[in-house]
Amino acid sequence: MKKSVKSILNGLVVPILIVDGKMRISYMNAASMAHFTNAKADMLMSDIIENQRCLTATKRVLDGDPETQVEVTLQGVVPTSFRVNVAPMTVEAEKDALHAILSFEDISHIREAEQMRHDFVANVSHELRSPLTALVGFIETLQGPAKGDAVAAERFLGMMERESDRMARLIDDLLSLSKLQARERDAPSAVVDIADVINDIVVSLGGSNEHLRERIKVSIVKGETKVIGDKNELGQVFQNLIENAIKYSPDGSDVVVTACAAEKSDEHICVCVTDQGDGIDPVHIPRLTERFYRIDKGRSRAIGGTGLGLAIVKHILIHHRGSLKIKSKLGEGSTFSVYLPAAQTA
Amino acid sequence: MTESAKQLVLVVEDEPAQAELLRYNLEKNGWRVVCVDSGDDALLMYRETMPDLVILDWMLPHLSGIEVCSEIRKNENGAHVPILMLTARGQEEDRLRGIDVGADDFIVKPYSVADLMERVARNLIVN
Repeated sequence: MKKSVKSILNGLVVPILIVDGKMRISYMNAASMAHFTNAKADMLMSDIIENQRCLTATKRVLDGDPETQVEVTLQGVVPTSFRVNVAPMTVEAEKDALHAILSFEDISHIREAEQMRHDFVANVSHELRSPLTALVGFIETLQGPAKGDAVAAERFLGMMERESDRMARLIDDLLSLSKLQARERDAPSAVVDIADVINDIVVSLGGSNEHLRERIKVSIVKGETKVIGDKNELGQVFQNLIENAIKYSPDGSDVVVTACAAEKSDEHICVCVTDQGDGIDPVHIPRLTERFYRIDKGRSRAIGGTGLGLAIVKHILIHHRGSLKIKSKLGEGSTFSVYLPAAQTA
Repeated sequence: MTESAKQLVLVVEDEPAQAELLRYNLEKNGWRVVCVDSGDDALLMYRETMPDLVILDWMLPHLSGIEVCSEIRKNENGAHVPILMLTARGQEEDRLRGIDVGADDFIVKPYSVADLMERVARNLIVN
């Protein structure tokens, strides 16, 4: 093969493999060598690719079939899904003998995205179907077996109200998430004082409940709390975190909210929400921001959770180019730390 | 009919509203009902009460409906008890797996309560 052709093929990020009529490897480009690390010249193609569909497609092309494509998952260091294009080619140096050129397009990310979308739709339909089942069942019961049973009607109506509220909350949260993802690429640019945001949330959460308001201890150093952000979204973040802290900790215990410049860096402001709840088993922590991941489904339902609160927090922080860290120990409570880009105070 | 002569239905459902819905309708039809909200409790309650029929939700925390079903079937007294599986999924493969572990019937949520009651009655008579 000409040197110039080789350098073109080596410049491609797509693995390329050329095999001769006996399915022996006659050429691999650099990307191909990086992927099939155990491959050597003159090896049989079947020594590095065990996938039968890929081998059969190559054999057929070498037998005279036209160009073809197969989708395969190859077991490398990490199993990878490829769309493999197999085309016939002749090699001048070998008296125009028929060869096959294979190019491997990595489609793992497409398959992963499809799988995620599929799982998400399945989860949403499950989450909506539970309250819907209760509603449909209560309506049927009230129209039939419970007709005229005033006590049952009263109780069922109360349950129906809670189930329909749950559906409404779920739909609100789903819309919230979808809007967030749509604008994730454009980071906010306004300057927001995090102290104002937190104080507003504490007032709105506490409402007229003085006891609840007293549980939330806010400690903020004034003047060091300006961040680049979107006020409404940050409100959602702290509403979620403070509400969770209250709901998951014993009645009467304190929830501490602190805000300060992040340690070792003046580029970020760190806001911590600390509760005195049961703490979280470390196995759950990495998955807490996944949609519909719940440690205790019954408890989440009892406090009106949709399973999306922390996913919303995560996406808002991605939008802000910030981050969330969760520290917890069983029996010793949890701290949710939010890092946000500080506004320049020059 | 005395209370103890009525047939007993074990309801395994972790959604309180749905458990309440089933309890009301089953009792209206003259059956006794015990409700539990987890797979582990289902197995304990099964051994304790030896019900005449089990209504089992597929999606339970920890021990799933499928696991509970196959555990009950392994128990020598549970080989023939009718088990009706409730599921929020409707996929054929799930249905097959349910039948495979020994569920007698498969009901997809949201279901018609009247239809479910008919199936309970049918399975209790057959048994």
